[in-house]
Amino acid sequence: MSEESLIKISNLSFSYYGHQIYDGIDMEIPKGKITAILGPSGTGKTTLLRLIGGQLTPDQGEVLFDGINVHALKRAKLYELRKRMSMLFQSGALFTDMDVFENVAFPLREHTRLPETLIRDIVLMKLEAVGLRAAAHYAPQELSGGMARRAALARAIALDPDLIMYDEPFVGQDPITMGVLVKLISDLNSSLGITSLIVTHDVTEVLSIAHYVYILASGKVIGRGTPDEVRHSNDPRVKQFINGDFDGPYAFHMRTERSYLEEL
Amino acid sequence: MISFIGSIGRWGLGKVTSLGRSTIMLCHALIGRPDIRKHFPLLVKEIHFIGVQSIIIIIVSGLFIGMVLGLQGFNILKDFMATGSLGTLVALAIIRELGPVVTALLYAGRAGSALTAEIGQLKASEQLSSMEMMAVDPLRRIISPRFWAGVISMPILSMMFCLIGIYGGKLVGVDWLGLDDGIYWSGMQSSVDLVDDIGCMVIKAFVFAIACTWIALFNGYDCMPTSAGISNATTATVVQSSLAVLGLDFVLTALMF
Repeated sequence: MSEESLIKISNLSFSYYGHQIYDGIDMEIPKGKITAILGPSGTGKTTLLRLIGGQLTPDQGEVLFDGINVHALKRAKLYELRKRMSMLFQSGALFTDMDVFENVAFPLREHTRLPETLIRDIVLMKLEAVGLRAAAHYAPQELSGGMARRAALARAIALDPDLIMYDEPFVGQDPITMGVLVKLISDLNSSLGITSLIVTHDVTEVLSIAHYVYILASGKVIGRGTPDEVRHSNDPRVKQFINGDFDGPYAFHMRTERSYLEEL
Repeated sequence: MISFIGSIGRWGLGKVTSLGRSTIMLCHALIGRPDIRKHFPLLVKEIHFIGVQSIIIIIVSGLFIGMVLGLQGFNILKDFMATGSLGTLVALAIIRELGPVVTALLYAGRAGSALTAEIGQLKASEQLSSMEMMAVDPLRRIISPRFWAGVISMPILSMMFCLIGIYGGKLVGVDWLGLDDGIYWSGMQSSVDLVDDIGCMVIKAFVFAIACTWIALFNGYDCMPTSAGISNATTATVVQSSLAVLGLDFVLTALMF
């Protein structure tokens, strides 16, 4: 890739309770673009986001965020760096003891000393951007799944971060909400220039907005390129995943030591 | 046999590791310059939840324990023609032992379990993670105010318990069974020492507060983020806190009196 990259992952390995999740992967996330990370469930895509955010420490390799090695930082510096990134959790993870307005205001109150009137304006702007200004004083429990995710998105962009990481943003959404989220993600990217990293297995939605795609499976990067390159890839593993074929290199059954007949 | 020894070893290692993790958690939560503007309102909110909302249960328990002590004490002392010592008996029993211990046990059941469940739920719903990713340290923001609230509240609750307990003893001994008012109070006045008795009570309450709150917070912070994990952690909090309080009470009593 010739463009400038915001995140550079080199030779990253990570294992969790004895399971090898990543085995020496290399990635570059271009600045100001939407990058999608695709892969079957259980390949540890969320883990990758946590590794980038410094919540987990890799066994080997490094993650550079804008040239800074995330895992070499002291606690205080790491928290400082996290102000520049934000993450949209699958569940939304809104704070249940605050209403939507307070949730969006939370990062502003924590990290800035802006006067209350300005905070109010910023929060309303962010809520307007996700179409939830009317729900400002709802409790998180009163929101539907899609609304909760949009509210969480408003909170994630409150501090105008350099990077937003979306963890499975489309899971369990109806087609309309899905369309809204797709449009929101691409609008935020084009209007604010935020680098977006989407982890998902909803192939069609994400290929429509992503500029660059990585496909992960079995702890390795098995495919990469622009959406078009990936769609027309000849690699049977990539093909199986993109087309959702039942038959292919990836089996439906988990591999076991003993055969079915033996076990019965 | 070997595997049995091995399992004891694993259990021991597990315990030592979690003790280490809990110490690291507490250090990260407590060491650092507090930001009064942000942290003081949080502390007040937690004192309200942990302390103020526990007052009712503390007062009712204190009253009944004092009344029972008064009743039993009076009936036994009567046989020795020593009912005049009832005030001393009630006051010393409550101030030295029952006050701080029963307060701590009630605290573990009411506030400790709630703290564990709350933090466990925050963890299970990824709210702690999302806070971390928003560059807000959950240890400073969630754990630290709750810890200080517990440490501030428990000695005060203990003192309330003692006060009400002594009054409960008076209610039964003096108002019901007819002991002389002056004898009840003067016996107490001459035998209870401000430093040796009341001071030690406050120290005990302080130690129990640290133990119970620490156990509750760590169990919540370290729990498996599932519903079964949260329920196990809550149970563990009540069991461990109760045992810790009773064990520490013996040690402290041996050292103090």
